[in-house]
Amino acid sequence: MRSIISAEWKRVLPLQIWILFSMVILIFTVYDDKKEKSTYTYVDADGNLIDGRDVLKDARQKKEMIPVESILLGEKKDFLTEESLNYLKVQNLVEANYSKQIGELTAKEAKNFYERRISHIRRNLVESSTVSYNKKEIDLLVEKASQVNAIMIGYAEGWSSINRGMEKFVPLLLLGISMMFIPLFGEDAKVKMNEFIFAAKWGRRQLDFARIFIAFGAGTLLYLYGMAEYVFIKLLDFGSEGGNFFIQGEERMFFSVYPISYIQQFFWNFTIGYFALFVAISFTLIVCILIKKTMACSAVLCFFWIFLLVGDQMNIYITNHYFFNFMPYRMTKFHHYYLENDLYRVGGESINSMVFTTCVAAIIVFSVLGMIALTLWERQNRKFVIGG
Amino acid sequence: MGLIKFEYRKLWNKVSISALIAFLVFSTLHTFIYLNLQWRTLDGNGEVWEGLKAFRLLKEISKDVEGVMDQQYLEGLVEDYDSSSEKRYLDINGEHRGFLGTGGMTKYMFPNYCVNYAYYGPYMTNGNDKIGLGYEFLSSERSFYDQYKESMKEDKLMANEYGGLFPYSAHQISILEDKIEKVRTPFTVEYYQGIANMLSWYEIQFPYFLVVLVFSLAGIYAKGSEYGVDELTLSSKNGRKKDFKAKCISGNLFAVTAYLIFVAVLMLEHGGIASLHGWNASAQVFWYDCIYNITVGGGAILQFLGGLIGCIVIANLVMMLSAVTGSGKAGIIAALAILYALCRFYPSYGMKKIFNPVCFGNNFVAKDGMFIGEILVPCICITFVLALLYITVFEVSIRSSAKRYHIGGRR
Repeated sequence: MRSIISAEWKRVLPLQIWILFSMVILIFTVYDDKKEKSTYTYVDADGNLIDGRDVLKDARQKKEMIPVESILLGEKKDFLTEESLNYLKVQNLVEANYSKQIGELTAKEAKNFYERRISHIRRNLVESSTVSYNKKEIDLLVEKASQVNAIMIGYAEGWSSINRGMEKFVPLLLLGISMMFIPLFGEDAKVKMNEFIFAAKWGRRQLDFARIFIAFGAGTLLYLYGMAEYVFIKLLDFGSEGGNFFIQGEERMFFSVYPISYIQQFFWNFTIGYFALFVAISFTLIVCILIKKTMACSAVLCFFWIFLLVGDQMNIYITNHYFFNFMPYRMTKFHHYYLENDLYRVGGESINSMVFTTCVAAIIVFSVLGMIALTLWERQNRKFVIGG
Repeated sequence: MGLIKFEYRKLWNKVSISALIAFLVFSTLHTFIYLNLQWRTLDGNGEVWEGLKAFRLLKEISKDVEGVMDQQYLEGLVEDYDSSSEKRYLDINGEHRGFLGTGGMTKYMFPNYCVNYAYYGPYMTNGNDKIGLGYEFLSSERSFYDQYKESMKEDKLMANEYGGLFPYSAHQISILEDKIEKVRTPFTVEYYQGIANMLSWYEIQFPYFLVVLVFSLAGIYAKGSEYGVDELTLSSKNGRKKDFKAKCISGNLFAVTAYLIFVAVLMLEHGGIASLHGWNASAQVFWYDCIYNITVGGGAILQFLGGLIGCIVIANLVMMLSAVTGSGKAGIIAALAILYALCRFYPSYGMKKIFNPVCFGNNFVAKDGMFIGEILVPCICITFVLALLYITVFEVSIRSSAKRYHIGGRR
């Protein structure tokens, strides 16, 4: 068995593929970093263009972290200079919470910073046009949200950039990895391996098993490797500070109900991405087993991913709730787990979409594996004649 | 001829058929899911109808607003709309203020948006705030069309200022004004939602259709592929020159056939859902800034023709990449990368898009013109000339690759 795995592994993942894989990730991450830095560029009061890299460098050097309420109550006036990144962050949070500028806040309003956030969250849940939450669900979500009671303002751009970038990076990683396994079961007209395969010493059953093992094993390795390279480059570029801050310190996540830090968010995303990878690989395998021809499989899978992409762009609640949430593309659009508060009701229990999606993903993977086993078993029992 | 026939047959293989079926399944799902879940019609009783039946209902109730937009029509329209339940429902300060911008439909969309264009000109969008009819220029047919043409002129000049290839000269502006003045009035109003849906879906799906061509044609000159080039092909009686030519012609024929299937399926689906009624409506009722005296149906045909030209250009590009790389896989990767770059990085606004074959299927080919010197040439003619130019370049590359083509050896 080991020799079959080794031979197939070398066939599907030669050294050149690993090098190409690493290079693509390197180029993507460096390009993404450059784009990310440019978003911090701004024009100051005197009309000078301040480069985003300088803004980040300045913020990182300060090494300060202060609770947002202390800043608003004026306890740390020297902390905020109008051109600093921290000022921009606080301003964004104040604008999201009060629709006002920092200077316009009264002391009373500043004191009620968290209460106001909770009241916004409660109102959003009550007035939601997509999900009709019951009182128990609202109370539960609000209770979770109220656990966020110390939003820190400081430099955490490394981790926030990782979590933001994962929404672009992980779908591409999944697409790339799953496409690598097309030749496992796909027949290439040039290679014409079938004659050898069916004459193999250990027969077809062991070969099929080895191929499925390689798909998931090598997929795991590639995923770990890809994520490690991505995180390493990001942290090298932006720094690893602020990983333990609440994600609500970022304007985009301010109304998220989950009391988690950037590092926890990263691990949640990482885990969901891993489940999504298994779904993507299992779809690739079943398509390749059914269609056989490598190019035809590539075409069908290409349109499958296009459908998932367009489905995500359509952004219709019903289709997302019942279908696209369990598909690899939308599974890795991580922000919706933290912001949309979609719930699934099973047996009187309300389950959040993050947990439910991963459970359904696992069921999908096992179902597809069952279908694969059945198809291969049926083929193994069929009398095979080469050229017939 | 026989060679072309055999090459054409070879192109209908498992890869191309799988790609085309996968695309059509995607296209159908995209059409039915989105039209069924997002669109709704407001009827005269203030009731909202959802799902596919909303389109049939809209067609039925739109008979009231169909006709020629003359003095009598405008007077009747203003009177009807002012006393309608739709007006109260769509009140911009009311609870349904987002209805029209989010898939909501009413029969008044067809004439009222056209009237509002006369007021808003380049700032026209769809929405509850741009459906009202409280304008003084509606007091007479003449003042309405004068205002309409003024807005059209303003729209065209603004488009040129922000997205034109060259700023218009004074003489060009006078030619444009003359052209706008010649727009035939009064307009004919008809229900056209089915055609509008079809063209909208066509524009969204056209770049994805090109992916079918990439998978189907990338292997046409690939070495050793099932339908590419092998030792037998190169040593055939007809010689490689004739064979390569036959492959090229059959590749183009394949692209045309696949494109016609795509358009036919779109027409069938959208015709089935919302009907293709409205072919005789004036183009200005649909494309408010259209400077040509055509109907909506005529414009749709021109748009499909533009798409066909774009599709042939991309087919030749893919075949050229196949000949140059000599490999199906490399051809696919290169073609997909170019297609992605054309969709993602090439500007899709302003007149620069006229050089991008992926945009040849956009509505500008039907409704816009471009100045070549002092002559206002319809965009469809320019895309045709550009396509000839592109195809010539690709053909030269294919021929040059064919001369140096070897199997198994270095070039």
